[in-house]
Amino acid sequence: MRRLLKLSCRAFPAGHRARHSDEVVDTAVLASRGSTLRALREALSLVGAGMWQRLRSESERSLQDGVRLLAGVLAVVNLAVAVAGVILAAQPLPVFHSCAAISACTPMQPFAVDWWWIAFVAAAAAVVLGLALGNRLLAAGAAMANLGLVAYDALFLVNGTDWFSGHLAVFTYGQQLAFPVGRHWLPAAIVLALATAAAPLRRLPLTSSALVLLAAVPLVVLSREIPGSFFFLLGPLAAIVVLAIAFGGRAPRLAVLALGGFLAALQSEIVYLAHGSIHRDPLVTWAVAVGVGVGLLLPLAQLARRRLA
Amino acid sequence: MEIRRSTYFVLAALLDGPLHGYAIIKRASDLSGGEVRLSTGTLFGALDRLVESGLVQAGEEEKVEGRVRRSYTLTHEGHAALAAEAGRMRRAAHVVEARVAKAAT
Repeated sequence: MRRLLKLSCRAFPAGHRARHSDEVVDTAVLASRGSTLRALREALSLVGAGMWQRLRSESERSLQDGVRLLAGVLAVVNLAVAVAGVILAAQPLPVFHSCAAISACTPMQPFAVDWWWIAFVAAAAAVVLGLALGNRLLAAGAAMANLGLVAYDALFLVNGTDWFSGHLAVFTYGQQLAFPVGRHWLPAAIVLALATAAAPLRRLPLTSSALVLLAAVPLVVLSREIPGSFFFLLGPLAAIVVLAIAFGGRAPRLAVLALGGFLAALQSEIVYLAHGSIHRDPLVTWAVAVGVGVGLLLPLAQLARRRLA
Repeated sequence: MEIRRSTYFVLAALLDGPLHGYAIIKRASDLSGGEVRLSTGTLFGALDRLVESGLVQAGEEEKVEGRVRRSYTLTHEGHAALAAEAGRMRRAAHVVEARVAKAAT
């Protein structure tokens, strides 16, 4: 019971006394009066109070902290894209081709784990490592290398008329719902390079770094479950926009994150709205259009209000 | 400045002298006739705000029977804020009671 209550105190921000206070835990133990149910209620109340404290302390954070958060989130997502891509290139999802007989069906796999994929994964991992260590030279250098690789692929290897040209087409290969993503990661790589260069960096504790890296795992898994393009990133992106709408006024970091996320996904948004997918649904298109509008305007309004204040 | 109900009873609990966290929870419950049941999260959230705004003063941590506790004392500003809130509620109640009594006669 005591351990649970102590764990609940971890909900408080790092600098808050309740996080390390035996006084709070002892009071909660006394208030529980030996009842497991009451202990659960006390634990929940501590988590709620901790989250509220976190939200309160968010308002004291600067916009530069938001840029650091943006760099961190994009670095992890970029690593997830690199790892997911290299796994897809090595072990593609089953693709169904029309062929006369099963025996005539030969698996088509135009992708391979070449130097580009290896360099992309290495650069993406180096950006995350540089940010975790607070080493700007490593982080910014790797982010520039990452941008160079993505730009090389987008500008020289992607053929505008062929949907499946370029390395990132591995995400769309054989997916009927897909839209071409050959050049779509370029804005994300640009935003990542800018944010990494501008963010005030500091060394992260080892546990935090490990937890941050764990966040990439579900994205990699989802990349194999959700067919087509970068759709596996849409859920987290929508969550960021919703969080920014809900808390961006109080937490400027979220507004910066939402704006950066919007810019990173800019090309995908434009292409989707301009061309749509093969199975275009007007309702979905309207929802995306409204989401894109709100996702851009609201964080901007929240940031403008903070600047004026 | 309007004070929240739970905060009002935290301040009221400290009127008779310094108390530690769990004693505040019990005293607030007694004073409110069991209506205000403060959870630890709510109590320490309120205490943090009250200490920050200078209405309550936190003492040093001490260990009693193996438990860590800290006493909280109402400051002069806290007394004044509580008295002002009690007066505000009395006036608000008077407005309604006077009209209810008038309507009944």
